[in-house]
Amino acid sequence: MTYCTDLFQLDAKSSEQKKLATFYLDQEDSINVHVDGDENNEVVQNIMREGVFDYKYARPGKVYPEDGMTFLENLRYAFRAGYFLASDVYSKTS
Amino acid sequence: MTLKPEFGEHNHAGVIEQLEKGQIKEEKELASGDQITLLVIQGGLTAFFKEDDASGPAHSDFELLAFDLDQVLRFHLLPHTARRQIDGRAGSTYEVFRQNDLLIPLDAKWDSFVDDQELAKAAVFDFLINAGDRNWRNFFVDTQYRTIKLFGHDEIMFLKNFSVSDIVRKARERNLSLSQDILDGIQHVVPWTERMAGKFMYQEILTGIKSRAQTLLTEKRIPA
Repeated sequence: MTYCTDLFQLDAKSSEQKKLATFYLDQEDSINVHVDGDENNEVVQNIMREGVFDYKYARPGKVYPEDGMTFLENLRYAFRAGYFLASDVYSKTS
Repeated sequence: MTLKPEFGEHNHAGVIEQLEKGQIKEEKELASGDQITLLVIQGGLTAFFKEDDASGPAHSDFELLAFDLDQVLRFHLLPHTARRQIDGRAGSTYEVFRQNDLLIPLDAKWDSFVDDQELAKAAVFDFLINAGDRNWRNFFVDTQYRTIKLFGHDEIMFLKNFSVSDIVRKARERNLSLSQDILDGIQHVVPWTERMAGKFMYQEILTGIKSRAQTLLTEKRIPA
């Protein structure tokens, strides 16, 4: 089972969303999130390097790709203002 | 430097009316963990519609409070924002920024594209609301006019304290003093918080804004 979150960017001119990347974990208990997409995109690089706040559990500090599922779950809260949006975590069988 | 257009030139009241009740030509649900829809409104206006969460605080109350504060300050940092109902669903709708020269402030030196007093305006706004989640995901730099565009004023921004605003941090680094225009705007905030009492459910937010406005008027800069 693979757990995924998709990140989208809105092109305000065309009003179309573009998928920038899918962040994924190979299993729920694995510890490192990987990227499927343009790893050189500066937005994607920033997220992987800088992490995001722990919005879901409101704990101090940030969560990073090596925090696994906690990181994935927080992306939808980090990207919620419209121009960038992240999906809920979904699963798929490989 | 190019002069920044003021709201009046864009028929401010007309835009608000369009957001509130203009005929929707196109409605597109955006892929997201939240309920966000992109609207194309008669006349060519494009806007986000964010539905209120039935189980939590209403997004629209926070978005509208932020917009109202920006109007009181006359800073013009936020997109036009209004309350709206679509098929019985209540929420807020705010204009999509579509300028050509908007920079996502990922680079640490983003503030080199912003004039001092424009940075000060955005920092004052964030200081007043005690913005707890201001970062590159919820502001743009307009490199043409050397200004800042703010968005994403929901309950997390107002109620959580994840970090000091990136904009406030930059203003402190520059040790900016506030111009008379900015102080004039802040003068209107205290009476506004008193008018808003009873209209907004989080009285402690209004109390905090009032207290921080008084601090700014005394210190004439963003306090450390």
